[in-house]
Amino acid sequence: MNRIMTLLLAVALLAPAVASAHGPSRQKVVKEVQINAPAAKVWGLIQDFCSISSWNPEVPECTAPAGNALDTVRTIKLKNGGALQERLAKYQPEAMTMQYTLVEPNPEALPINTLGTTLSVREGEGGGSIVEWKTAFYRSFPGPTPPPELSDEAAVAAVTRIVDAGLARLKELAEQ
Amino acid sequence: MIRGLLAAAGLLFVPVLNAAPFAWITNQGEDSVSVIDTATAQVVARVGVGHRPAGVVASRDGRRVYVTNPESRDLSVIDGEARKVIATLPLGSGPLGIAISPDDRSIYVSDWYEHRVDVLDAGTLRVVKAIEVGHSPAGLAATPDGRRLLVANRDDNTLSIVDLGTGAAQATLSTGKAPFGVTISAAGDVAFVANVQSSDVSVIDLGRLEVIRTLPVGSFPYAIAHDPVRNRIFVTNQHDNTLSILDTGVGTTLATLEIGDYPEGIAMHPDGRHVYVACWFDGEVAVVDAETLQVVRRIKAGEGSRAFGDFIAPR
Repeated sequence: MNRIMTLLLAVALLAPAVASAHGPSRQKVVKEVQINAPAAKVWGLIQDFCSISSWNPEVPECTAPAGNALDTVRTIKLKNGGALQERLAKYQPEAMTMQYTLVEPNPEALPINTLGTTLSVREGEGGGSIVEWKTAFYRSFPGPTPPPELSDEAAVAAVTRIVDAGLARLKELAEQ
Repeated sequence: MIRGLLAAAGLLFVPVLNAAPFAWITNQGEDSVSVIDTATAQVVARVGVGHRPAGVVASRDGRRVYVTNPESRDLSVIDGEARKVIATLPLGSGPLGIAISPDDRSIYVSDWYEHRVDVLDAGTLRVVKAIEVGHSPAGLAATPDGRRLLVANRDDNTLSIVDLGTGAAQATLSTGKAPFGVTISAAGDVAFVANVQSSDVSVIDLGRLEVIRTLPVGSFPYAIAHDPVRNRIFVTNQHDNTLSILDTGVGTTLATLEIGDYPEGIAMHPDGRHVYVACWFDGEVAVVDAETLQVVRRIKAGEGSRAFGDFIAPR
């Protein structure tokens, strides 16, 4: 795997024009979790763009300037040590929705490219709430035949792991 | 029954069998094409094609529909009346964009990984020519006179203008960053290119072969429909979930419409009044009234609707 990464990096350095190509098929992961806590409480836990490290065990670190101004860039560190930068693209506290995008791909952290995520909270039944995590991305591998660890399936699995861990922990925290 | 009668009458008297125009929507997440009867807004058929279908073009008479399958690396040829795949042609490693000549005789397919456009004879279904273009070619459009093919080279930030007589580029113009969809005006005088990463549209004078304007639109624009009656363009903005509607005369944005998540393929209906937009994330087709600029209908098409190309026929 490391050798492949090195090779990829070498290719990217030699021919920067090639590096921006990505897989031809965008992938998506959509997950919802029902939480037995009011929507406002749940939104309170996630409303700060850089609060993710406090509610997602797959994202142990986050640094960003304070506030939730549009175009704020946060740097997250994943469990595998890889870092990613994400930019706040839409922030609508009244609708309890935020949207962010990946600034630059870093296949060593996550084998994806051009990620866009929408995170939202809405009222559920009986005073509860529903959190929805919608994300769309391409695999990062720039050619037609990715090795298994950089395939569409691997990209989907890696993103799903982060989404699942975040939603499960959020439910725990909100229901405490 | 009425439809059956119409079809029977059509068999006897009219060259085009099916009455209403149909929208052929590639569903990338389920390896199918949904056929929408635009008169009733119903999905009337679902045709299984290759893996992860993306590009689509219907012949003007509606008899054939061609679909690119980047992951199975082939082209599905659909009989538009029987709504069945009649041939599957292996192509290069990344067939993506697709266009058809005005006489319906030639099919053009861009290859994302092999940096060329394959020209196929629609009669024999053979590749008759390969044209070298820029890096990662995506959107294609043939001029109404059939003489030129425009190719958006996504990773070169250029548009190739290919002389179809010689098979060589007549000009290579710099566009914005990551050009993807390309659309030519009905009159053939102007082209519009959606630049994904610079979030703008390059307007190209096809007489002078120059970029004459760069118009800002929403985030990650994908493809464009041109409305020749009202002199407007409709641009799908993937990351904004919006449609930018611009007056091409003065170049101003008239409206920005919430359309659905990840709007991608877009086409003007032959009625000149409605614009069809495939929204990838929810697998829906949104129908926009070009006059009132409202979404008048949403049709569930399938999983991962992409419909990159001229997907409505007959037109």
